[in-house]
Amino acid sequence: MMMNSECNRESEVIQAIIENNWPGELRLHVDSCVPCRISEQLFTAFQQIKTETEKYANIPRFEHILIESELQKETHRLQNFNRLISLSAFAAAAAGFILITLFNPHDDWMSVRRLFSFFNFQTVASCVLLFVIAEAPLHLFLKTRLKIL
Amino acid sequence: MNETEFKQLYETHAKSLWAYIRRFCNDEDLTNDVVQESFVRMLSREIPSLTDPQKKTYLYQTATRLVLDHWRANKKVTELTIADRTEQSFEWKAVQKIDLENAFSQMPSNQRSLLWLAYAENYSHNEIADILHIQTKSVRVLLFRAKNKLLKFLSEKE
Repeated sequence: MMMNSECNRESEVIQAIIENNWPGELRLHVDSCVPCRISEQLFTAFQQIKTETEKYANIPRFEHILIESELQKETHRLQNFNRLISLSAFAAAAAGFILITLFNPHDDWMSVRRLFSFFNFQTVASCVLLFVIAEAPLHLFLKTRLKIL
Repeated sequence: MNETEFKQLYETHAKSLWAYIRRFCNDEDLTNDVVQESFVRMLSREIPSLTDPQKKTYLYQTATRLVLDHWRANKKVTELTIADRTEQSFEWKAVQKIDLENAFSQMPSNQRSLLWLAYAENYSHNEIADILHIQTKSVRVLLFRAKNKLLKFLSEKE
């Protein structure tokens, strides 16, 4: 049982079934048109299957959807907050690095050249440490006290 | 969208969405998760104001994508491929609902989704293309082949 072709009146047939309104000539057409007859039968059968499937649909309770949605919103908000903390800590470390190198009391201050000459392992290590000191407590607080992230 | 509107949307479309996903993926646990997540995403994200049909399409799109993402993560092949074309001419007979349901459940998931969206949900080809993320011009061909495959299954059962 196969179809070799389609019919451009199939959508009319479906609409007639939905509205339960069959113009006379359309009914005659379906009786003589295999693709339309098949579409009619398939549509009717699928509507019955859909109705029966929906009867045993185990949909979640509406309240669960609301709660889950609020939880997701809160999680996104705190993830954004966490990113902001990390960015702030990085900015603080960078600012500290610049201030340490520029305002050295033992040499001419505001020397940009010294900024690059001071870029050694000790300075970088200091800045990383500054970053960790700035960010770690806040991160730990978010994870342990608020139990997220 | 306020809570009352969302509740109305949920009561209108939850069961039909459940039925679609259940028939699409044949996995009740996955269906429950996907339906919940689809509505949660709709509620928790700031989507521009949509008409009721657009909201329904959005839900079906989201749900379909969630199922496909789940399968990809579990390494199940779900690409919408074009089926082999083997047309033969047979005498048409009346479609029996039970045989149809059995034959339908044996079809590939992509063809199940096409047939369900077209005949159970009465979506247009444009809307089916949006939901399944395929070209509109492909829907007609794929749907034709899905119908033929279904009819082939039905004729084999006789």
